[in-house]
Amino acid sequence: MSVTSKKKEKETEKKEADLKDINIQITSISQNINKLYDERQSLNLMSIAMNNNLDDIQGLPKEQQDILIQVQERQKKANELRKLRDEINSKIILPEQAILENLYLYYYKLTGEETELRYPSLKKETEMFSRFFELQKMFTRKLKSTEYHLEFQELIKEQLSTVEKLNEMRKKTGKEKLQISSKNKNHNSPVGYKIFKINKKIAVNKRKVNELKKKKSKLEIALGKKSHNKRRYKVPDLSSIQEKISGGGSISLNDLSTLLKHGKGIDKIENKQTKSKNKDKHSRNGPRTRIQTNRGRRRAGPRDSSLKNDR
Amino acid sequence: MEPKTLLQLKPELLVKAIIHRRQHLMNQLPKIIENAKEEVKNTEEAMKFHENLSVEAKKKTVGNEEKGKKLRSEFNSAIGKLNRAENIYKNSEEIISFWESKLELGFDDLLEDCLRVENGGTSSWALRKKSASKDSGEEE
Repeated sequence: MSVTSKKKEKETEKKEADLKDINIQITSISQNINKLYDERQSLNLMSIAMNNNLDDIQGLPKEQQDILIQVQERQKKANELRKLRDEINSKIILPEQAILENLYLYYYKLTGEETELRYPSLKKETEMFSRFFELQKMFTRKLKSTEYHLEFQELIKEQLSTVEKLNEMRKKTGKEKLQISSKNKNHNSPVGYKIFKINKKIAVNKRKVNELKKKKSKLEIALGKKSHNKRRYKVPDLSSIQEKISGGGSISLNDLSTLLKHGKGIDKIENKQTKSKNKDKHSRNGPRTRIQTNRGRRRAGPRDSSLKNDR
Repeated sequence: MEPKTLLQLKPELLVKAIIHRRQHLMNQLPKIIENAKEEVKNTEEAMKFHENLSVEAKKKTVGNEEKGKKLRSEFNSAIGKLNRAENIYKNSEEIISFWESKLELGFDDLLEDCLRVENGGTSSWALRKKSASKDSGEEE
């Protein structure tokens, strides 16, 4: 075996291996995309459930509807908790740690020994005294806010875990096609950001698949598994339509639209007919002599008759 | 001190602690004032002695000037300390009697903010922040 043929064989082997790899990658990414689609669908359902639009989903099995009702109730509770938490946080702006630090600071300023005799005045002392007890109450309320926050987070976690549950159910039931009215799609739903992220992931994966497919087709061409022939536009059969017309038969709307799209056909028909007429004329009149009406030099000015008046 | 103790501290106890500190200070202040006066005297003397020396020697070196500055700042801080001690001594009785009256009559006027927060109101930190942002908005 010559060196060049060995080299060629090696190259083809390498290309074959690359092709295999690409095929594996394409299938794994496609599977991933499908998973993401499922997840997005479940999140959409969740989003609708969270926004009280369950009636807008048609074809939802009872089992799934029950879950979505639970989701709805949980979301109501979570929204209430969030509201309570935010209300406290807007009124008590200091975090827990800062409250404790301030408590220590005021206590030592009120009762501790100061260097260089820098003791507070009575006005400052009373101010610090009232702040100290305000901080005490602030801390208690802040603890309540943290409690609400933790409860809220727990509920949201549960909500997200139901997505998995819903996915499983939908897989088991064979993913019936659901119809969700688009007018009620809420983009500001709590899972909206998750949906947005999934959409992004889908787009990225699709781009990857497209690139891989391009590489794959190049490799296939190089390996001779696929010919260069690009999809060619299938030209409709015009001759039959032409025959119909020339035969004086009626044509359908489809035929007419084909003719309009491909004016070539009409030209041919017209050409055919005019040619035949001219043939008859020629035979009757014999060869024509060319007669010219203009004599002498051509005058200047526009040739267009509509412009004659402007002269 | 444990945070729990701080969070459970009652106003009466804090007032007692404040009074205790003031009384302890009152007992110490005469001695502190005496020491402060002594310190003022010493630093003043040292400052003046250094000034005289430099005038007699007609030496205006950088080292001399720096030493002069140092002695002056020592003198100033000693005077500040003395003034503070005298002021505290003057006001201590008034302050102690104020807190003692609070112990007898109650602290309702001092616990207004605390009650507001307890009843679900806005903390004075948030109120200050709001008013500050309002002011800056008006300025703009």
